[in-house]
Amino acid sequence: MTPVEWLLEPLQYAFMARALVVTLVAAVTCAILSCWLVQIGWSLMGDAVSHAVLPGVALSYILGLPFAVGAFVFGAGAVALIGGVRATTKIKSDAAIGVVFTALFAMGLVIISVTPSQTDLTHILFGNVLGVSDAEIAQVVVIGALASAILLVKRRDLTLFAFDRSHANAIGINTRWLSVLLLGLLALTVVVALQAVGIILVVAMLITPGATAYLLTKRFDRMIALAVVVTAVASLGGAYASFYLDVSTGGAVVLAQSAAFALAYLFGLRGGVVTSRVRVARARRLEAAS
Amino acid sequence: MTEPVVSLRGVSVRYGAVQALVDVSLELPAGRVVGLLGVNGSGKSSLFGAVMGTVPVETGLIRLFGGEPAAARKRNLVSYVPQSEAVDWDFPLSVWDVVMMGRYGRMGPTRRPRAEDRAATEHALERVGLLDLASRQIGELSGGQRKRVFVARGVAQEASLLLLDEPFAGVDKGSERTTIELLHGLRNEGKAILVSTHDLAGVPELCDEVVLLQRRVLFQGTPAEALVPETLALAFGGGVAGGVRVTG
Repeated sequence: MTPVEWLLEPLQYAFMARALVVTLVAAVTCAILSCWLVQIGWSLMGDAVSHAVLPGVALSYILGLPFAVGAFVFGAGAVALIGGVRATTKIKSDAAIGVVFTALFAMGLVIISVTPSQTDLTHILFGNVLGVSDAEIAQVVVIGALASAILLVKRRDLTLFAFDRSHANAIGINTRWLSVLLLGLLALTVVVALQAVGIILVVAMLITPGATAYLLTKRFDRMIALAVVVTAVASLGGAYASFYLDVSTGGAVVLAQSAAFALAYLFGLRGGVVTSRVRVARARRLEAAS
Repeated sequence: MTEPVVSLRGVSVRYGAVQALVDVSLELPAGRVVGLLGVNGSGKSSLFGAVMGTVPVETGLIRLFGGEPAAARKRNLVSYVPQSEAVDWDFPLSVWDVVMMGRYGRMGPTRRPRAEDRAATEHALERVGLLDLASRQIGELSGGQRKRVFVARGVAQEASLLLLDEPFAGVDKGSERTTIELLHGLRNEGKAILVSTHDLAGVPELCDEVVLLQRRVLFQGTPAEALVPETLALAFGGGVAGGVRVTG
């Protein structure tokens, strides 16, 4: 099989073509967002929102609404609840996050357990990218494009927010609004990503791309570009691998992203474990020679 | 007399049961460097926060440039130089990127830099002597250079009030002198500069005026008057040796 055939073969199957579109849109949207999440330290927030959407997805199926509506309502609701608990008690931030998202996740499990069989828990939790409908694709593409566009248009403000909130305040930029914007976009992005890899693995899509790109560059704009390119290539690679190896698509996509992270960790320019050793050894040799 | 740049009248700040500032009244004129001295927990950060609008004021009135503080901030008049511990030095931003952030309040909603923004950034970097390091990642600078990046941001912003938090922590003597000269230059242009510190090194040289803070204003006057053991003991307790150094 030539490489071109290898690439084209899966596209003959409509389900596979759809899966690749969803995977690509989800990977790119998550990659952009993840750059700010890892810099601000909101990784756990991503984990929380992704789990908290479960009751929303279940209720959407029951009520016959687009899944995105319920997921967004519960994602945004989780953010508001976490903020509320944090503001009104002295509970530490990670505990507030933990209490809220596990409560919502548990509520989702209970709702699904009393619902007739058309909602498949396994599909929601672990993703069912090979079974997405046309309506679901439309939602993913529209929401993904919207979230990516807003993130890129507001990228300089978001980076300022992540880097130095006090300066943003000092020049009259509303940091509360920026934080609401970013969390709202997080909820939207989770809606997209859960179609690709399922609720459990969404958090990987929200953290790994930013963490990988961070190891590769010292400039934020380049970090966004690298996150997008590396994650898109890795995710499509994972999806193709899942087709040929007949393994879980969501699992393969996340595993491919993790492999990209591992490569950056070992060989990255910014203190890669192997690159640093090589540099030190070379310096020592030069010193010994002189 | 001209309008003071900063005016606080009877300002109190409270966090739950903790009273951080009690009935603080202060006026800061243009063209002066004022040192805000006090131990950790004396309310220096609360005072900065109140001026910046990040800490709610319980009672009292704050005016900046004779008007609402929020309006002054919107007009890019206020610049803040954070203390080093508050900055993520590993953040993937260059010196140029950070100084350009000083211009954001003057740009459109997408903060796309125009020619005048690039010129102002370049001029500010030149002024603080960091133009040739513009492409460095901010963590690749020395302690003094790191401070000057944020001062340059205030210069690029064309702010009229600079708030500096612990400007001499982790800065070597030579760099300290460069920073003092830079701040004096800005003062001579008529900018108001408020410096918060718990370390008295550099204060006599830098400041025209000193405010001793211990939740209340204990003393306001010249550094020479302030930096005598009897006065310092008010704010720092007995641990003051030789009049200019705080130990312990």
